[in-house]
Amino acid sequence: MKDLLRRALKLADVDYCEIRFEESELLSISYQGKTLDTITRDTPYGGNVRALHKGGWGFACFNNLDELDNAVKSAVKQAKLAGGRLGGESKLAQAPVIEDEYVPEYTLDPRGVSLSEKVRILDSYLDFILGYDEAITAAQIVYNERISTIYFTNSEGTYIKQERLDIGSNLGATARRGMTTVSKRVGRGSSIGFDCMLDAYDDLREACSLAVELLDAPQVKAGVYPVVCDPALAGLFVHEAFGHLSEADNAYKDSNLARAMTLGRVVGRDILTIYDTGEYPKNRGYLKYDDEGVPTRRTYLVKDGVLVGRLHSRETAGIMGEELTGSARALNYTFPPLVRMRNTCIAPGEATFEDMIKHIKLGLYAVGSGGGQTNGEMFNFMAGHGYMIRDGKLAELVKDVKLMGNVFTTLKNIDMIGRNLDARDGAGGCGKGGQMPLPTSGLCPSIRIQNVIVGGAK
Amino acid sequence: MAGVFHNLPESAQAELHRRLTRSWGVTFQNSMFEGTSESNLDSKTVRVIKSGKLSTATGSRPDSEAELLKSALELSGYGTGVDYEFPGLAEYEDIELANPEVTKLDFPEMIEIGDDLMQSILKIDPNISASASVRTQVVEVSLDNSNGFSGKYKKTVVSAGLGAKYIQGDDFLRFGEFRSSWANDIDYEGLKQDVIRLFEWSKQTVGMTAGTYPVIFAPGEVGHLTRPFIASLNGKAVTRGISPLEDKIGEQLLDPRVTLVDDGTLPREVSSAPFDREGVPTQSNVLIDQGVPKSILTDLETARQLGTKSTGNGSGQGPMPHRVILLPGEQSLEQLIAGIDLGVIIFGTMGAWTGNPFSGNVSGTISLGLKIAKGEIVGRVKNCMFSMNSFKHFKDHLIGFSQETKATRDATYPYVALDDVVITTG
Repeated sequence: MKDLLRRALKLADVDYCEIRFEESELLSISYQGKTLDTITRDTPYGGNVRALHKGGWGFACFNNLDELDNAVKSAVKQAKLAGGRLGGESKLAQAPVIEDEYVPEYTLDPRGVSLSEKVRILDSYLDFILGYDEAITAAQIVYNERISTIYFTNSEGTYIKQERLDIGSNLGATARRGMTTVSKRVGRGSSIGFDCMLDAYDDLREACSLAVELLDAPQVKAGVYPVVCDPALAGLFVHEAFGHLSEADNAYKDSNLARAMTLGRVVGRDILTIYDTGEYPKNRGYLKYDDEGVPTRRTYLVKDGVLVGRLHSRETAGIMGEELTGSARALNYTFPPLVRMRNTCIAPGEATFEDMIKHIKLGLYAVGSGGGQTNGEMFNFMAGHGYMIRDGKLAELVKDVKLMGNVFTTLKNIDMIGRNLDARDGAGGCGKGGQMPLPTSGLCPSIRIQNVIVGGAK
Repeated sequence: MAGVFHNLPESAQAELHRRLTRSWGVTFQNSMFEGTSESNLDSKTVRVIKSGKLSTATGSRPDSEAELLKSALELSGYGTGVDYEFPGLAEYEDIELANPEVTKLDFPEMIEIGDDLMQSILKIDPNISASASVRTQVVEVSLDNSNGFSGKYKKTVVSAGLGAKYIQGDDFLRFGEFRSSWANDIDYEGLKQDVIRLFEWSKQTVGMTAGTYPVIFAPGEVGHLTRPFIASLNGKAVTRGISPLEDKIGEQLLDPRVTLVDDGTLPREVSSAPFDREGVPTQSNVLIDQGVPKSILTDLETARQLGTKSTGNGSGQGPMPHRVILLPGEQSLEQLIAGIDLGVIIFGTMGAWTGNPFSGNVSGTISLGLKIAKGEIVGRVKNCMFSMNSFKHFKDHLIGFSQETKATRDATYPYVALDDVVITTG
């Protein structure tokens, strides 16, 4: 493969050219209701060529390796057309030239676990969910496993053959009474082993119990509250509210946004430190090299409340004159890489849970993550459920908890950070530029935020 | 094509779905031309039913049909229990979905179109960071199965988007519109005017206090409101015991002005197809007729379980709608706005897609909302969230639907005006 790809690159008479080729095997098993619903094996196979000339990009993707030379010619022709129009300069940050073949150190390689064993484990979770309570009318179980071999080579001499594993799973229960339905789920994920799927019964018991209990819980009352977020929701918050804004492809050619994100700006209190990294193999989003062949590294975004960094591709780092971070990621071979997060984390603080709630007269403890979205300035995210906090104590259970806020105001409103740490994983992923779901995760403590807008009942 | 089925065991049925996609397009970002892209993709899916169990294998490796069949057969021992058969030789009506002229749309012409779109808003204010895209797709689909069905169709799609960021200090304004068509006949002038109108309306920020208000949802946001109906009238939700509407068919559940249709037969629509993913001819399905839930979208499996015939909504992963159409009303948008003393019109939301659709609750951040005061749009509202319940609001709080409709890629909706929507502000 190395010789084939390198030979094709010789056709590229442009400033820069790269080829990424992927061979993957995916296994998806899902249960809906009371039975196994789908079982699918997918074998994506294909590649792409990306060329850069005078600041203009061309991109061609293909399934058939016989078409490789034509794809190189197409990408080069496009880049010349684009570069001819722009008449600019190709600016890529200098990256090390690497030759490497990398296979992660698996804790339990899913290829060593038979399909029948995987189905048996999932069947046992199905039985557990459906047998928990008669109010639980259905289970939703999703298990996705992707093992990829990615070949990357570029016109600067880098050649990397990299194996990647991504496992994401949701184990969910739906309780129903009349027109009222409630779903709760347990998330699992890993980049190094199937062992993340074992022994989920304690978490499932809690999810099933909550699903039944939430049938009678009221919808949270709309208002503005101090909110304590558990680590899963804090992970979603930092991803949506801040992580996307730190992706430099939003700011590198937009001077107004670059001004709003000037390094050195104080964005939070001195207790707040945020970083993004590809270094945690137990979580989804672990990465040794990104999809431009750049080694990933821990990137501090906020240190002691001050904006200190952002996530980069080679082009954004080159144009902004900043260091590479290894954050260029593509969903698969049909897409060019974009600047994306990996594991976005908040460094732990000193506070205990009791410290966080004891002085709150009326507030909300929001638990679990159910998805979120941002437009740069505003964010919205959904918790799994919540408990009202009344006079410094946890009170009644509430459901349909959605929180929103302004990014800059909310970061400054984080006034306590817990000493606990937990990761957020599951079957979903991050979406950007039509590329979804990209595996990401977060390792975060609980956080307390003042003045959060909560949507809900009158 | 059907040669791949020769080695099929006698007890098994198999199906081969193939999708060839050629697409090319241009993008502009941050008020600059960014680049072009082209893709030639070939994906194949084999489904097998063996001993009453269904399994699936997909792939994109060239000439991999036999390998995929083998893989699906290997999985079949674990597959889903089903008791239907793939359809045999069947007639289906050709629908006009492909316009050969779109292949003439080349990169230089697309660059000119994209540049013209981008310049149209930069002329209004050069501080806007504009983005634009133009893309063409030619899709060829074929479906063959071992019971004798053999069908194919071709469709073309041209799409264009125009959007912008307007950032002043920490104040971010994002807005945009998207159009698609089977031919190169997109109303680019209309697209520009819609985006410019949004910007003009949004330039000034005004205050809004928390409370319950009449709210108009723009067509691009109405899908969040209809999601509880579409999800609940899906055969899979009904057969899996999670649909709250399974025993409400035939009841007057909503306002009589609510009629919701799914239609996969409309010619020249990018969401249409002569047959579904399983080889069943598509049809028009009235889901809700004058407020009364009438039908449930099914595929072969759920139809069998419900004792009905497939509605032609098979996707290979459960029933899916083709084009959801909410029938329009009698008032113009202008009249709907004029009838509101104090309220909001919402053009953009965030997070409204999250949550459990079967509860009917829909809420989200208003990312682009305009305040209506004394029948007129007076400026943009910020830091606001809306909450409502589709089952309740389409029953008791429907003000009306506009005459005007807008088509997205897979839905056609009017503006929807609802009363008593909770607005929370910071």
